[in-house]
Amino acid sequence: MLELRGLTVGYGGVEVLHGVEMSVEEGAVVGIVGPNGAGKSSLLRAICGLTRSSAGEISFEGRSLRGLAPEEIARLGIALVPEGRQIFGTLTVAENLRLAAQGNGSGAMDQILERLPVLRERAEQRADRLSGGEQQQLAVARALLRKPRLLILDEPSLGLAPKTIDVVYGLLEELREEGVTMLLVEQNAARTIDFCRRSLVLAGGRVRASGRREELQRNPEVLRAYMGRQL
Amino acid sequence: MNGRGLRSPASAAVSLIVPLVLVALTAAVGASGTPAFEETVTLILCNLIVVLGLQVFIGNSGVYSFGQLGFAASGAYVAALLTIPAAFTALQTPELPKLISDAELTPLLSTLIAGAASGLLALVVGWPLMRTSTLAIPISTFAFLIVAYNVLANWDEVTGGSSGLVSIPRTTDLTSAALWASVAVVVALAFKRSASGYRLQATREDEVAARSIGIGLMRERLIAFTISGVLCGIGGALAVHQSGVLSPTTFYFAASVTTLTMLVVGGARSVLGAVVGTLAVATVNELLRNFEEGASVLGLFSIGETPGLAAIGLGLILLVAMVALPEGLSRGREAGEIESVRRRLPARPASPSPAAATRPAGEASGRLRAEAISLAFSGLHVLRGVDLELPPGEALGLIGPNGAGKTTLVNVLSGFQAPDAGRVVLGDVEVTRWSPSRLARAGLGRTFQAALPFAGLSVIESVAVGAMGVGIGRRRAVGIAANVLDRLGLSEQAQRPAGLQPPGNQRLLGIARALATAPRHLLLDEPAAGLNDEERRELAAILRGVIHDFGCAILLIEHDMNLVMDLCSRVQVLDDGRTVVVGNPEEVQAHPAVVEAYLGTSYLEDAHA
Amino acid sequence: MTELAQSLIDALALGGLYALIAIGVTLIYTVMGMMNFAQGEFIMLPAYALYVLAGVPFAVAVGGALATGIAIAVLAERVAFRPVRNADLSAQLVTSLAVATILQSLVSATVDGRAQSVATPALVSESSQVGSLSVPNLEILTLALTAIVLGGLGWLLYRTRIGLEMRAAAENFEMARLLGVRANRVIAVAFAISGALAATVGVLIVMQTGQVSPTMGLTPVLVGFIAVVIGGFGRISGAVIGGLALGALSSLLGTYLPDGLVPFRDAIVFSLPVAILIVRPQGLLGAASGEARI
Repeated sequence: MLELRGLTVGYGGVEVLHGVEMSVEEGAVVGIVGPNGAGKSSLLRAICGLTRSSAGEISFEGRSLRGLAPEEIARLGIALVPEGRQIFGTLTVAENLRLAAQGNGSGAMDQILERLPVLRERAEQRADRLSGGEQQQLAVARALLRKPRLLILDEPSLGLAPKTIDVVYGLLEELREEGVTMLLVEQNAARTIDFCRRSLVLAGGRVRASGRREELQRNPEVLRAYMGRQL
Repeated sequence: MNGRGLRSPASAAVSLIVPLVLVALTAAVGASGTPAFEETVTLILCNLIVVLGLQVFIGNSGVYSFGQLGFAASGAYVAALLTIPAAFTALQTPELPKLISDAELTPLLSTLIAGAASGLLALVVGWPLMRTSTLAIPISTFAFLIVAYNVLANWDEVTGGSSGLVSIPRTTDLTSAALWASVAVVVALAFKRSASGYRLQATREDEVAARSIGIGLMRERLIAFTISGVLCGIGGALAVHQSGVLSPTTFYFAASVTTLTMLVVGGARSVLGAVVGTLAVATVNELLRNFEEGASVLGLFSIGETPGLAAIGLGLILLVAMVALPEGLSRGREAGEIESVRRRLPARPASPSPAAATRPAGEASGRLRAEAISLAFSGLHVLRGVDLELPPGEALGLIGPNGAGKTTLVNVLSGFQAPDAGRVVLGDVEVTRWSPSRLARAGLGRTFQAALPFAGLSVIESVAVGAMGVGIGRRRAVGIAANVLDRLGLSEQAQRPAGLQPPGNQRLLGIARALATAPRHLLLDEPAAGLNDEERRELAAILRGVIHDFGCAILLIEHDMNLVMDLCSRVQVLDDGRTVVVGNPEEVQAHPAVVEAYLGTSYLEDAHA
Repeated sequence: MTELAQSLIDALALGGLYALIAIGVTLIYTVMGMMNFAQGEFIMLPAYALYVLAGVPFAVAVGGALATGIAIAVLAERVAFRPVRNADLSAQLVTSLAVATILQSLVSATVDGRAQSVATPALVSESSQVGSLSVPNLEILTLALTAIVLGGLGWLLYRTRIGLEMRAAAENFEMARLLGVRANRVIAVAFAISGALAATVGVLIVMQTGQVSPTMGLTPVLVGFIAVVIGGFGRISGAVIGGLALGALSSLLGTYLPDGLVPFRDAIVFSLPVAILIVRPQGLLGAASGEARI
């Protein structure tokens, strides 16, 4: 569904991604882990059209994404839950959702509110009054309302308490069981590798390791990417 | 003392000579035509002085002022009133103080006084205006222009009101205009290459980085604003002594647009740009004015009378320039900076200066301490009661997962963010609410995650301005910069633009710039990001040298464990806004909580394998 | 007492006019981050439409003016501002200055450089009895229009899809685009509304002065800028407050200033807001972080 070939991204003279290769099949759940500065966010930004790639190809369902505006890529069916959630604080919860729903009918919105009752409670409140965990649920709900073909999540557990992370990942698990195609980027390697059937380890702008869950869980490369040569 | 300047002497000479030659040529062209033509060219040269005034402020600060012609107006009125024969002054401006009314000064004296008066006005007006935010300066200076116009047009008894003034002695001729224009060129170049000019350019390149090296934004802008006022005043005075008449609309909106167009088309950043732009636009303007009266183009077709064609043309030129050629014809460079000139004049390596960065005694030194720092924004607790201690001469590593609060802590230490609770202490002085520039001048330097280069300056200029930022004079700053570049292996790049350096060098430049401020404490935010293995080893060696030779303490935020282990005697781990553990590198690396914070539980067993 | 009430109504009316200008400037600022120098010309050109459509029934002429305002704003965005959308703010500001110059000179060249008079319906220059007061009809009209605009804008922003998109874009343009909001559409709509507002202001000014001139937009645009700045960048509520404050100040000064100082009224009005800026650089209502809000 999503194919990256030789993706190279650089800005301001700094190259942050060097020739990254990756593919995500329909229904797959793929994880990307790696230390900060590895280029994970740059990778996502390139896919979503927020950053221009200097070389390489990004194609989605056979269609090249290079040069498309972010809103065009979004309309092709890619939904991003960005780092830091980035909900519209000055809009109400309902407005945040309505913005994403885009005339997909109020049916979709009702469904989401059923699924996430805490959002229904706070529907008319300003979104910046929500707690971190609630905001994260709102961000995911917002992405889901777009009925995406590919759901991308950038560090969904960032800044959340462990219990809240469990709640969020509970939601993600349901989505995984429903067969939603997902690309998950996290700094916490263990949880991600455990959650996704397949993961990549990105460090220094390059893919250092990739494989299925079981392979990676005992792979020393992962440790090395994070903790340096000592280990 | 190292005698080598920031540019090779030949480059500096070319930068000065070319604009002066252009001025001389313009005068020569003017002299060769009809008397009417000569007058037009004289006026163009007066215009040039005003444009140079604009360049001094706008070009160096990167901030657009729409009010500079208010100073040209003030200069014009002052000069006019001082030179109009007493009888006429009494008629036109009855309530003018007798001292001024009776004055009939020489052109030179009246121009000098006009310049001084305008400069004083600029200082008074600029004092409040430069305090407003960068976005508000264009608006508030525009307001000043309109206020000036309003006052001039309505204060009939003193300024002659909207009818203006007449019978002004026409004493400006081609030669005097050319001479004054040359002086203006020299002044503009001298300012650009002075310590103050460099500091102002640093704020233009990157405001945040400039503050981190001790530069006071408001002060530097005010200095340039005042000098600009003087030059504009002189230009206005000379212009009015050429035309003999003056009204409030002479130096108002149309003239503001014209002079701004000249600057933008030529390239605001360079004096050469101001000169080239003025000549180019003036030429086109004259051509269009001729067409206004109806003309035939190449004998092919005729255009009837079209008043206002010149103004439309000017607007179009400005628009095209902004869209297609934002840096102007000169690309923002002086004559001596053109690649071919530069390449022929290789930079000679500096001889190491013994007067390396030394800090005057009595400065706040000793340990840097953070006590119980807490900070929350948007409902997120970024830091919760974090302590940190950096004794003199130590290297402390600060590590932790993304979002742990490391950069925020450094922002608090360096004055860029104020904590909600807790304090920062330097030596025995509490410095919690000190501004970044004040902290820089007290010996606290830092770098940023993004390199924040001064892209428009050369490598050596970028570093030298660090020293200038903390008040070191230009000569010594150059010596310090050469020394630091040597140490970091960047000497060969000295004359090249900082913006074109490869990423590894840009990070080193950030460090070099901070080193030039002679810091006692250096806070480095991920200096190794984007470096390969070899570059990282070099960086570690450099930093070790820095601690040893400069006696500087270093706080290092890093994700690159290898660098941290190499360099730091102690490591502090932050997670979720709290300190997890502080200890030596080996203990920390194997500490279960640390491994878990980064990787998660299932990797714990392997940490001990 | 009646004199005070009279002055207050005068102040409110002028404040309303200035608020309309300020809102037009703010709308563009919130979606593009640009202070639009050409707003004055968006006011001037519709006024000239009234001049050009002299013989036509006034209502039709006003319609023509509205259409002109919208058309010129949308056209300017498409042709001049879109290419510099990603350039830095100074570049955008100077570009808007270029557009302003071109439009101003075009009018000078094709019509005339001097002021021209425009006939307006007699009703406009008359006054009506409101209680014990005699209020100029024009002021009633201005107040009514201001109220309608505020109401209409509120409806648009809070009850329509495009308004939702605009508010989202004003807060975080990038995120809005990630949700499929079309940047071009949002910006075009902001300019169109801005143009309509400017046209309204232009018509009101013509009704007040009976004249049009190529430079008539200069003072209003400065008013708009200053109102936005003292109200706090990027907030419509701030623009309204700023406009009302400036208008009230200007009007009250006009009534109560000693005769000798009256010609300097503008100078005083424009100097005072700068004092506010020094004390509070973010404006009266501005957020310290400089976040744009509608």
